[in-house]
Amino acid sequence: MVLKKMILRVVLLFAVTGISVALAQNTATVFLIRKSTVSFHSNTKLELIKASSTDLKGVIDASKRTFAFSVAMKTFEGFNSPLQKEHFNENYMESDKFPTANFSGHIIEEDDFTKDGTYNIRAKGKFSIHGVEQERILQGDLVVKNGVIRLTCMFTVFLSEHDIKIPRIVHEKLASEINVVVAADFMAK
Amino acid sequence: MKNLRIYLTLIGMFLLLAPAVAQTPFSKKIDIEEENLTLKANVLFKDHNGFLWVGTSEGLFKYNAVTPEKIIFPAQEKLYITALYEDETGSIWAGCKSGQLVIIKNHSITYFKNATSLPTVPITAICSDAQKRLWFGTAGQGIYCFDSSTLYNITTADGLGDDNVNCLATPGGNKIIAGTDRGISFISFERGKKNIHFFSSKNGLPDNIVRSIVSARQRNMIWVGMQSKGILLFDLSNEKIADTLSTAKWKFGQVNDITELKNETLIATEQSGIVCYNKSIRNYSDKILRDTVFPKRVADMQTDNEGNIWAASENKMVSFTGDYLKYWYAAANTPFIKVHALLADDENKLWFTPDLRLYQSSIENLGKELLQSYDITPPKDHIDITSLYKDKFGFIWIGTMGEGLFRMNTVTGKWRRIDEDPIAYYGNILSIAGKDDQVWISSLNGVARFNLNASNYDLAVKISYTNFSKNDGLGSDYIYHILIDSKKRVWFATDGAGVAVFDNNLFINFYLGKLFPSKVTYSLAEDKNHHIWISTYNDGLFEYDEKTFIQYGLKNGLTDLAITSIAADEYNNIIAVNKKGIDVFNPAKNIVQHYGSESGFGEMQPNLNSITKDPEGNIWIGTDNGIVRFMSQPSFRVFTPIAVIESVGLFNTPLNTAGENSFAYDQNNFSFKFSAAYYKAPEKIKFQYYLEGYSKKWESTGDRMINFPQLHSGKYTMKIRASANDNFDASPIAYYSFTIKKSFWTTWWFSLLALLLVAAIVYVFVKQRINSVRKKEYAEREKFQLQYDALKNQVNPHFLFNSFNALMNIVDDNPKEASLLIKHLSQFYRKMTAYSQKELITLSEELELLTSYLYIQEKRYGDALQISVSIEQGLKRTTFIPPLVLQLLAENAVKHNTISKQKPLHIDIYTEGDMLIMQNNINIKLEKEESEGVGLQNIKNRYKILTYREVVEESVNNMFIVKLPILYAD
Repeated sequence: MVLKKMILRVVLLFAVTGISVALAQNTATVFLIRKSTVSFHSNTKLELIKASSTDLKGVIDASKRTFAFSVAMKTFEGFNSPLQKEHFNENYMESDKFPTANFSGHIIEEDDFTKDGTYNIRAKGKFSIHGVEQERILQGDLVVKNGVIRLTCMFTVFLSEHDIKIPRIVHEKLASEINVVVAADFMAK
Repeated sequence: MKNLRIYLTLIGMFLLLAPAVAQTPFSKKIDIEEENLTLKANVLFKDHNGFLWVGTSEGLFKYNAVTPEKIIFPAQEKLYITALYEDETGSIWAGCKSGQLVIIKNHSITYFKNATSLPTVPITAICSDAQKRLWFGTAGQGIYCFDSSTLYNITTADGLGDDNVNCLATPGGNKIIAGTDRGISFISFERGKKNIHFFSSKNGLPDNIVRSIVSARQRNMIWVGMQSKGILLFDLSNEKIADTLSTAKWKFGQVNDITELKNETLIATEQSGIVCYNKSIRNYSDKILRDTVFPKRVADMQTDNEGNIWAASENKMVSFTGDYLKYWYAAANTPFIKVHALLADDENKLWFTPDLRLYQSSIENLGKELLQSYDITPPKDHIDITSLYKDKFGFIWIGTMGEGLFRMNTVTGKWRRIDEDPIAYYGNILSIAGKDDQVWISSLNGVARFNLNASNYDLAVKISYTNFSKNDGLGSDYIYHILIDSKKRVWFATDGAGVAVFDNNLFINFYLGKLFPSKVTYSLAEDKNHHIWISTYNDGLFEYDEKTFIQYGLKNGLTDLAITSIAADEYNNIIAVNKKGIDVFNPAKNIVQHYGSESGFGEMQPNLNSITKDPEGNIWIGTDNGIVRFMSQPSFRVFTPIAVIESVGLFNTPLNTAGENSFAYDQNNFSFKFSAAYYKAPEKIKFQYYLEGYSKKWESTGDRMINFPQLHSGKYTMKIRASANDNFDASPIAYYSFTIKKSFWTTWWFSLLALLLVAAIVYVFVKQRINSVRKKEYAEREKFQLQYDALKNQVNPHFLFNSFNALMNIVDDNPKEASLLIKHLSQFYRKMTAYSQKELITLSEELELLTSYLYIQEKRYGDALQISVSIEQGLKRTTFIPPLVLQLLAENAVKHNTISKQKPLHIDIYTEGDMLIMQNNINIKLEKEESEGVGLQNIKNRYKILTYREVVEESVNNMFIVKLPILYAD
């Protein structure tokens, strides 16, 4: 049941990112996320905000060099307090209005990811959070071993670029930049 | 003498690491839109007039050297401009983030439309090829090619590396080179055939995202800027990487643009501002500008016509002097202070003397690498080095202020004070010059000539010398500068005797010989034509062409007449340094380019004859506040601002200057807006205008607009020129010609027409007048004729005889009747006489006359004459008739017919419509009474004059009828 639901969500995601056609044609080089963590933290003097989600959905098409990721905002857990989580979802991310953060596009490097090895890659695409889309080039490392692709990627989200407004009172508490760490294992479909 | 001894101590070659003293161009900032912090400049473009355009997130701006002017789009929309280009017709193409393309030409703005679907993603680049086709790069939809009718799309499906195109270039004109997210794509598109291949990381490209492609100075080479791996040189002839340029050292982030200069390449980056790559030492440096507030993100660069580099950065445009003018500023821990003497030697080393010390550094790396310092410190006093020279043995001669002359072996560091010559020992050495075996020094006590021989390779060996002073024929003992020219003549710039020359063992003093007007001269130079140039204390520059001295001053555009040092560059410009800055004078074109405070020279304080030329031809200038390098280039810059007529207004409404230029007589209010692309010192630009057909001379104006409210008809040409100084001679002229037509009433055809019309009117008038006179004459004649006829009748003897007969018959029987007849007879004659003078009489008057006449006739014929008149009473009084007409007709009737009891004559007078009718029955007399037969004709003629209606005469049913038109009073 869980798997079925997951596949359904991934397919839905494909529809959003428009690469479902590619998937249908090149099943052999398409990798799906089997296990993942997305965590973020921001350091300020007054308050540390951190949370993580294990619910990142994603797909890489190695032959087309395209990819798509999506994570539901409400799946983030591990805040300092339930109140912080509430603020995160209601005040800042407006998770009901903008339920997911997405990143889709293409991989710049031309390595063959189906072969074992370590690859430093860049992905260029549209990164959307809080309903605001920005073009980003993100760097990450791919470790390919025995048909499993392990992705690790660190990047920064600038709140101002995504129209995420911080109330003046908590301005001091919240940094204007959020550091995000992604780790995910992919397997061929 | 002991306390006079100077200890010249070579402390040694201690090392000075000075990262803070890096060479610096001068920079300035311009807000694109004042205090608009959200605005982001994306692209800079230079049009054919030299004006800069900047495309931003909030619209398009044109920088006319005063302020960036916003282009207003037709729907006032805010367009996000991402690419700019000017096609061969002078239209500016602006590509937008939305994929829209806007075309701006002569103040008219249109949107690019085509039958094919247009791009819907950002336009990233625009360029054109040799076939004048336009190419558009897009972020996601490949490349579009427009051949002025069809829009073609080229994508990965055609072989393009990637549909994300970041930049376009056409180095050869035919092949398009595109930087994409998957390397460099090479596109040729001939006769509908697309031939595309690409070079990507698979081929060895360090980074697949190619952000910038720029033609290199080297033939067939391009610079490639990448997203994360810096820049490299790519060889187009074999499509291979020519040089990766120490890519491993790259740590400055994404490359946005590249500008290659002579010795360095500037790189605009996303995070590190402008990074400079030094070609000779193959190294990168950031923070190249003294100004630390230079923004991090530089989106684009552009070089203006004057050689300034412009950078589009956030909400600003930053300009700096590129490599043509560089500064090594004086600051704490830098040796670039009070540079009184400067020498660039033949080994590309620069020797210079800040207070107390002598430094030496390699030219290409001045201040960046190791400086050798020679500490020449006397025990008590300080030493001021004023002149430097390197002799044929490679020894440096060091002249000081009051402390004598030294000669130093730069290899061993050993030195010797030249004590053999008193001038050298005691003098203030102001200048040292030499050639081959000769070395000349100048002081405030005359000059000395040293003759080197082979033994002088040994520093210790004394040098033979000859001293010259006033006594030897030199005009003055105060010599500021010595120059040995290509003819081995020695020239002296003196204080007191102008310029002097030592030729064939003779001194010629031009000032004393009244051949040279200036008493105090400062500096000397020889140009490529072997002309000698002399700078003066206050009289500007002189050129000696072996015949005369030609003077150049403010009217030639020089900024200051007190010129402390001069040098001739490789391209026959004279570099004249004054307190205000550097004047670069081109004698051939008679123009001056000034680099003053606006170029960063304002507070430098140059020192007398602290100037030197390095082997590459660069001029180095020593000042109190640093060292300045001026780099001459063959294509050196537009020296003078180029005036441009921005717009022509007719009653303040902009005209299409490319369109109709002929105007109606009342379209006579013209205004001209002009500007000049001269970014170095916009506030110095002066304009002159001359309206041919109106102006009598060139008029100067500080404004950038001129209005002529009421021009007369005629042909005009507006001419505008600009200059940054008082010299307009070489200024290019901007033209606009137009014609104001004559008003139609002053045209020849109108005059002719008017003349013809007047002639016609006169002709018609005269003709009518003649007609009426003739008519009148005719009427008169007719009238007289009638009168004559009537009078003739009056005296017709038959009538009288008959009347008297009738009278006789009744005079006895009926005297009463007889007296009545007489009364009628007299009444008849009286009336006839009275009326015959008149033109018209009323019908009733005529009828009374007729009644009298018929009464007389009745008496004769009795019942045989029967008359009936039936005319409305009112009509009788209001209508008119020529006098005696009815009487004549009645008389005719009586005259031509037999009247008897058997055959009575009936005369009926009545009206029918507007005709008065008189009819009688016809009983033709057998024997005709004599008659001229003109009576009726006369009546007809009379009526012809009076009315267009005709008199009708007819005989119907034995009735004779005459119809007369009734005449109404009008």
